[in-house]
Amino acid sequence: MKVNCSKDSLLTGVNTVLKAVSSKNTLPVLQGILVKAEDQHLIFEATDLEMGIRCMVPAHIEKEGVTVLPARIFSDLVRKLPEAPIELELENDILKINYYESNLSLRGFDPDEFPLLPDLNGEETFVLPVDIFKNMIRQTIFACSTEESRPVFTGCLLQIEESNLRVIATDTHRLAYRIAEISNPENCKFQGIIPAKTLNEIYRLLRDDEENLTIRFNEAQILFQFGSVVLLSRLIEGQFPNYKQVIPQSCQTKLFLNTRLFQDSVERASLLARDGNHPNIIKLSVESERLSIDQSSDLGEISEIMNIKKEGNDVNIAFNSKYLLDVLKVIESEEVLVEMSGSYSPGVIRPLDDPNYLYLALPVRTS
Amino acid sequence: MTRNIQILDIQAANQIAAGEVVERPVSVVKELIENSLDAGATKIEVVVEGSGVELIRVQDNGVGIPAQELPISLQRHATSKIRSIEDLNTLGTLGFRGEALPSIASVSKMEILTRPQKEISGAHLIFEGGKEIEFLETGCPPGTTVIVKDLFYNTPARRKFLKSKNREFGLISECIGKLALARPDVAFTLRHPKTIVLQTPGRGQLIDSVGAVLGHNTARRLLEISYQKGDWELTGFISPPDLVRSSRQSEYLIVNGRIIRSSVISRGILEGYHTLIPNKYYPITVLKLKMPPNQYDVNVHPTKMEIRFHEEKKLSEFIAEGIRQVLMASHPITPFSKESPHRESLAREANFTSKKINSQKKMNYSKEVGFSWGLAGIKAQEPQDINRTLEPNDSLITQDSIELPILQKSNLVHTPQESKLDSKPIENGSHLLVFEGNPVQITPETNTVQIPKDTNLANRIQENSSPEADNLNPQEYVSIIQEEDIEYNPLLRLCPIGQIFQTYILATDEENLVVIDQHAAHERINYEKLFQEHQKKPGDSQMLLIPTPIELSPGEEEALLEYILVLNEMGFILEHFGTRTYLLRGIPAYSGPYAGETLLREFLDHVLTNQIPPRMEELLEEWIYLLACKDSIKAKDNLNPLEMEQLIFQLSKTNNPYTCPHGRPTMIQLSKKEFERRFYRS
Ligand SMILES: Nc1ncnc2c1ncn2[C@@H]1O[C@H](COP(=O)(O)OP(=O)(O)OP(=O)(O)O)[C@@H](O)[C@H]1O
Ligand SMILES: [Mg+2]
Repeated sequence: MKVNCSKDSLLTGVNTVLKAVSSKNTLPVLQGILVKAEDQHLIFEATDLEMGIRCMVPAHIEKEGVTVLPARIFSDLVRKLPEAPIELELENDILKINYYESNLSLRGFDPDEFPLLPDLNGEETFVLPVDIFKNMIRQTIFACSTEESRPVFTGCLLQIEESNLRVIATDTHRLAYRIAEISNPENCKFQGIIPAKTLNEIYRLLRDDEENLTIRFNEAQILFQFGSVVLLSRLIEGQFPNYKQVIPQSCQTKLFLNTRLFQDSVERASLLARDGNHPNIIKLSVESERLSIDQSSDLGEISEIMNIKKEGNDVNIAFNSKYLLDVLKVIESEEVLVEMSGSYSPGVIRPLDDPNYLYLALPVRTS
Repeated sequence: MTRNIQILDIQAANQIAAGEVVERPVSVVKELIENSLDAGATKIEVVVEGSGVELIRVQDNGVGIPAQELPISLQRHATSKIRSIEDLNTLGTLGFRGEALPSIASVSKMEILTRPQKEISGAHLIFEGGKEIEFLETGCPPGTTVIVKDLFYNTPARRKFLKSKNREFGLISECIGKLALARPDVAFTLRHPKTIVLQTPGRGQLIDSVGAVLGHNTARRLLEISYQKGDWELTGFISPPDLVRSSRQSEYLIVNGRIIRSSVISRGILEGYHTLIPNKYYPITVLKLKMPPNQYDVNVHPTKMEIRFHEEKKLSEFIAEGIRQVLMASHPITPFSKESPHRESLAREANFTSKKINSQKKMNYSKEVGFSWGLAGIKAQEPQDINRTLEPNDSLITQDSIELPILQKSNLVHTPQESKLDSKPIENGSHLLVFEGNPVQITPETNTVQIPKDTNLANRIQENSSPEADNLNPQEYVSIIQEEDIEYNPLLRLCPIGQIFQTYILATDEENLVVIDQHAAHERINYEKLFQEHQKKPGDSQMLLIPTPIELSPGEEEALLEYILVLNEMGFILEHFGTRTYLLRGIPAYSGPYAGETLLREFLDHVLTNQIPPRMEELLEEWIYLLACKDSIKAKDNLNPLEMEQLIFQLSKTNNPYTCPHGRPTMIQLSKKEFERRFYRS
């Protein structure tokens, strides 16, 4: 292998795939990045067997070849390289990196040991608009659980059904639901739980100027293709709970709130929790047209009063303030609608002008 | 106790736990002694030959058995102690089954010589393998003597099953030791066969028995406990936190005069010592509990060793509280030396002396005003204690001194090669202290402790030591003038001098040099703060959108149902779903990093192993340790004088300033006396 390229190309390639490098050291070759020179392109690949990323960058290839380089050192080196033309040369298992008069060399792993990323060619294909999908991820992913003991909750359910695209996430304490209308002429059908880690990476790698994203899938895996990036991920096995059942169909109280004012109030009321070790429980009480948000701790007390528009009954309810703030941060609409049915039933929050998003938070039963 | 012997009705007999009464020689000894105790004996002499198989003789001065009742006493289910099963609720005797004598008689060659106090002659009954051989009138002292020879001669299988002679005899002496602890009012003697192995004076002082059984040196270090709540009364002796054993062996429990085992009480004990002693170590405890007999059930185990209490949780809390109080009052600071106590060191030279305290910071010792610390407190504030006088200072630092009446503590033992202390004067007039030699290491078994000990206890040891006990020089115990009720916290007298190795704070109260491990100290402060915060947390419940199904084993289910209300108060919301399956609909809102299901399962495990439900803070304890450690200053953190003061002050406010949450010491100390000794000034 002999290649000429810029520092930028190397950096793009390395940064794109770095997150897929395995952090476990069971299989040493997985702690490396595969670098392949082929067809006037440098191809970078990394995988932890849960997720794999491939990325192509332009380069001048004098001689094709392939190697696997230890990811940590290689990425640190690339970051520190000067902005200069760079030459890569592979001899036996050693990669020489030449710049200016200087050179360094790095011993690689055997590329034959590196697992192949399947292309899922021939599987069902579907094209999604990037801006919609990115937003869907942003508005749901935070509701995923980080608890490894119950894997189905560590990812988002992605559903394609007729002209509906749905993304749903829940950690059993709250649930976020986003639906979008798409064109689905071939009536493609898909349902699978995508690990939050995968969606995070996609969100990070998707550029706003990209228009479309192609997905391909089978029973166990899903592949996303956009720009020069291919990302393959395993799907989480298991039955996602029936979200339709848990979304309340009616309510006893409706509050119409200014999103930012509500967020500010909740944020202020949350300040009094001593530290991040404990959940921050705030009490909401609605009495005619007044909402009061209260919190008290050793540090002091706060009572935030908001004048609101209300339909239905008065109510007293307590929430973990994080569960409210998380959602208020991702709602752009000026006003939100909060629906409740007594102290112990889920509270539902929706943007007033957007029927396609819904969030549900379970209250805290205070003693 | 002196009712006639009659045969129990069959119904009652069956209700009483049957089982193997005579398993090994020690069982014979135990049964016979219990009979003697039931007969009101005040003197019991036991002679054992070999492992006890050869000969066991128990002689008492009790009420004796009337000649005409003697043959009946050897019938199964013959007892004079209860009449019906209801009597168990008011049981005042150790025996109640009427099984011991016939069982022993059936596997040995047994003789009984007995004479009721008022009779002029006694009866002599000889048995072999359960059959009467001879029954005659004889002359003998009042009381009863039972002789058991050739134990298991007709059951060779049993004999093979026995352990070595030493081991069997060991069990016997251990058993008599326990009975002696239970009954300090009875004089016990154990001979084997000529030497006296164990002897108690029977003067009614528990400490005598403790000394005889555990050794007088150990006994002297124990702390006396006396705690009462309602109709429960706890008395006895417990070890200071630095006197620990690696097994539960030295845990003695006596409930209403009966030696028993109880996981409930064991748990209470450990809870009392919690964080004061390292994990997997056990204190020495001799606890006597008095409670109405209808609050527990003795009839749960054939050897009557285990009893079941009705209010388990309350009891274990009661025990823990009692122990905690004594331990905290004892101010357990680990001293410098790791050698075991010398005789001299045990002397409590408790003189009422005046002590100078450097009021460099103008500390205020009056109780009402409290101690001023921190930035504001440093500014001059006139001491208000009536006991102190201001006098011109003669120390290097030109500040006022306060004189306070305090107890002078005893001097310490030392091992010269262990830590050499060099004192090099430096310009500014203060002293830089350098430790040389081996790092001081404290191991739980070997170190000594210095505690302002209950002098009454010391006096009692002195007065009542049995003849075999080492003689104590009465002068070693100087009576203490009762301290006025100035309640003082000895840590508040500590003034930091400086920091060494960026890890330890040196401080002095002018009487001792105290070395404080800054990390351990801070860990203790943070741990207690976090723990209390958690105790205050309400049992709020985060409800779940999708309930977690939980499958339980039959035992777990039983535990869950028994404590469903406790679980509810903690914030678990559970719903029965199917056979041994429950839905977790809500979990404690303040559950740290743990999943609800994990906590629930840990709760049930805890109940199954300890018979008592844990509290929420206990479930979260590992996490609290971690947080406390994370929040604490580390070794190698530089501290300025103000910070050191603050640390000592906060430490003094903790419930247990002397150990870190893992039971390691937060401070060690070296007394002025010790310095004088090492510099040959005395
Ligand atoms: N040392 C003794 N002094 C006086 N009476 C005795 C003595 N030993 C036994 N007895 C009498 O003999 C009876 C039978 O004793 P035994 O030990 O068999 O039964 P128990 O003590 O009543 O019950 P348990 O089987 O629970 O020990 C006793 O109830 C008591 O009246
Ligand atoms: Mg008996």
